[in-house]
Order: sequence, then structure tokens, then C-alpha cells
Amino acid sequence: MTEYWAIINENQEGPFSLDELMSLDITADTPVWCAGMEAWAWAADIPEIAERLTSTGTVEIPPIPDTPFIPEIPVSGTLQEEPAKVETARNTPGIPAGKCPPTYLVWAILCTIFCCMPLGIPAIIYASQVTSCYRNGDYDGAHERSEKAALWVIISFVVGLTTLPLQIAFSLL
Amino acid sequence: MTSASRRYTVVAAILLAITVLCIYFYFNPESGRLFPRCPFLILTGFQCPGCGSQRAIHSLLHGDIASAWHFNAVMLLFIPIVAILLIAEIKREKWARFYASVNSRYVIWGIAAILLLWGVLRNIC
Repeated sequence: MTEYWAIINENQEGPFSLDELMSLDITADTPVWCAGMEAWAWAADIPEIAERLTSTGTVEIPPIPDTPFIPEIPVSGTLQEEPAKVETARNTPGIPAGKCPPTYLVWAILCTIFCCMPLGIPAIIYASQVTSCYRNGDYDGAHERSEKAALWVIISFVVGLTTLPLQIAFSLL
Repeated sequence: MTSASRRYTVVAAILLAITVLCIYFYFNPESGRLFPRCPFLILTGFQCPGCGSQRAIHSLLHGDIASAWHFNAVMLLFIPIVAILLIAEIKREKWARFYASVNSRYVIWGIAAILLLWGVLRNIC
């Protein structure tokens, strides 16, 4: 029996049998892999899963004119009608496609305003690169920038917190 | 993060936020001591984009929007922006398109530009 792995909430989980996999919260946008496959694919692109997705509910990826690389939650229609343009965009070989990695933008702003201003700026710069890379289909690049943004948020937070006693001491002068 | 640990984190964050807001409500950062001073201001003598936020929060909690604007206008403007971004952050998985649109590079560049310009202008004006 074939064993399947899936990326659910950014965690790789498995192995599952086909029945177990289908009992999970699988959508057309869930990345799935099984032995024999070269790379991760969307659940909708694996025939045996797509078949059961369509039998339980209707699946279609509507065309997204403005944001071509952002996976959409299926709404209605049938899988067979999926536009070819979206198909090629999603099948980047060797890269587990998924949702846009976090930009940590909100934390970068909060760090800039409340912690240590100069250190929050690189976090904001990296945050902007996360979405740029993701839109260009560079998922590895997006993940890398996402991690760097997180790193700078942590650095500015830690610097802000460790110098806090010093900052308070200055208020007593 | 599992759903349980995520829930604890959220509860801890909310409790911390309430505690901090209570401190800034009952104590005035302007007159009271023990409130942290901006390291950027101490080191360079220039106000950073966040300077005045503590006093602004204190004013805002007492309903004095004019004073809050006077202490840090950009912090006041950023409250709704941060709220929207925080909602997008929490709902990142479910509202992927909403997350992508509020995190588009134009939005982020705009935010960076506002913060940097504010940091410069407030010191020269």
C-alpha cells in the first residue's frame, strides 16, 4: 500500500494510508508526497487524491489575475477545469510549494517603535523581500528572507530587553 | 506550534498587554521615574521614530488624543495598521490572500518610508 506524506500547518506529517490522508483536513492546496514522486505536489494534482476530493466536494482553483503565485482556497466547479496557467505556476519542481512564509512585519514594526529603532529596519527590509520572492515563485528565497526577518526581530527584541535595566537606570539620573 | 501551546501563548500575550496598559494608565511616564529611556536618544541625541510612544499611550488611555498626537503622531497612525497586520498574522493560514495583500512589498516599503521619514522630519522640524 502506498504511503503518503503531507504538509499540514507547515509541518511534514506521515506516513498515512490513502484513507487516513483523506480523513485529515486535506484541501486541493495541501502539498502531498508519496514514494515514486520526484517532488511534492498539490493534493489536486495527484489523481487518486483529486478523485476523492472531487467526489466529496467540488474543487477548482479560480484564476487569480493580479496575484498569480498565491494558492487559492478551492471554491466551486471541477478540478478538470483548472486553468493551465495556474497549473504550471504551481508545479515548481523539487520545491515543496506552500503558503507564503511569514513576513513578521507586525513584529518588525513593533520592534522599530518600541525596542531599538535601527535594528528593526533590517527586519522590515527582509519582510518586503519575503513577499517579492514568493510572488516570483522563489519559495526557497522567500523562506530564507522570512528566517532573516525573524532573526532581526529577535535581535532587536533581545537587545531592547537586555538594555531595559540600563534604559530604566537612565531615567533615574 | 500545537493548538494548545498556541492558545497559551495567546493568553500570555493578552495578559502581558493588559498589565502593560494598566501600568501606562495608572502611572505617567512624563513625571514618574522608572520608565525606560530611549537608548537611541541617549546615544545620538536624536529622537527615534518611537520616541514619545510611552507618553502617547498614557495620553491615549486617558482619552487625550490631541496630546497623544503631539507626543508621537506616527504611533497614533500606526495603531490601526498594526491591528490589521496582527489580524492578518493570526489568520495567515486561513486568509492567505488577505495576508499576501497586506504584506505586499508596496505596503512594506510604504511603512518603512513613513517610519524613516518620520525619524528624520521630527528632528529637523
